[in-house]
Amino acid sequence: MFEAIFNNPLFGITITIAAYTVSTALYQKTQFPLFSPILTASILIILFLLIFNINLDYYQKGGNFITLFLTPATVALAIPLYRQIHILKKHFLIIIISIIVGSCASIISVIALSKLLKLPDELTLSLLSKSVTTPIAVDITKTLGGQQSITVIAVVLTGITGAIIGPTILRILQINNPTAKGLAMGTGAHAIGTSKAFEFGETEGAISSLSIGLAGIITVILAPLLNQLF
Amino acid sequence: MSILSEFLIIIITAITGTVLANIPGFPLPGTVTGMILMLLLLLTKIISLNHVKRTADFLLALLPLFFVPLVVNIVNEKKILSEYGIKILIIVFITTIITISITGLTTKLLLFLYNKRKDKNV
Repeated sequence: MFEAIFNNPLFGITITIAAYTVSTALYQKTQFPLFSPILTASILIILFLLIFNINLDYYQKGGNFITLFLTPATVALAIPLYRQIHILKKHFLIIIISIIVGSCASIISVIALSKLLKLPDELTLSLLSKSVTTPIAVDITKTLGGQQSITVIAVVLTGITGAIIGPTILRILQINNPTAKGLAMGTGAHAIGTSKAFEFGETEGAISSLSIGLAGIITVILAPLLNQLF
Repeated sequence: MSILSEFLIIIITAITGTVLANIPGFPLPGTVTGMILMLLLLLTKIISLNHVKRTADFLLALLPLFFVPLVVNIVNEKKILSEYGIKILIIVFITTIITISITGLTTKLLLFLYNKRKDKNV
């Protein structure tokens, strides 16, 4: 009887949506970045599979359906970019240069630390895109030949770290300008950082959401180049 | 526009991006190509925001959900995680501090130079 349930893609879809709903409710109650729904939902599902000894392949019959929506959702990222394009037109050079410098700093620091800590190449490749939004990061990892699941976790942890310590960093470095704060949060910690940037103010949030897409495009180009260089 | 026709526009753009990305030598991955394509369609007013807005906002609101199955695959990487988990955490933590600091400082410097030049011109 259980075979029939597990073989049905609806099984994986149901437990994913159930775990996600519970996790989102938890996050909305606590508002604490560490309870990011991606992380909590994944942990709940993994525990469920382990406790009932269910094979990952059964789960992914449904999971694959959900993953399919990633590509159209990434295309939809163009909409917030389009909505904020007037800000880009106003400060084009400042915004583009800041994001290029920031993205380079992210990629180069990952390569340097990975070498220092003697990480295998495949892992380093999976971490190169960690500062950009997950759909683009996963795509970069696919192109470079890393492990996508590692990338997703690194991206989420980056966002959480940025949201928690970002405001402190900005205060210590006396970065008070709304444009600078938004760019730093969006380039360094993608969407999770952006939700924090919206707490600073409307301008910070808008610039941060603009940075998500731009940093993604810039990192797509820079990551393979810098990876070959170093 | 119905939700379904909005979705149709988005997936046609997504598929076109994927097809373009498969051309040998094309420099960008499919999803990013689709995103840039959508941005161009909006900027050239070939499609208006109203043609995609509701479905796009819906997809974006659910974006975290779409990654959950990818993260669950991590159970296959137990060995990597037990061996390198702590190192990955250290790298993520330090590089995030570096990226936020450098981006913020760069903007601060550029704005300072920009304002100084503006003052001179006045």
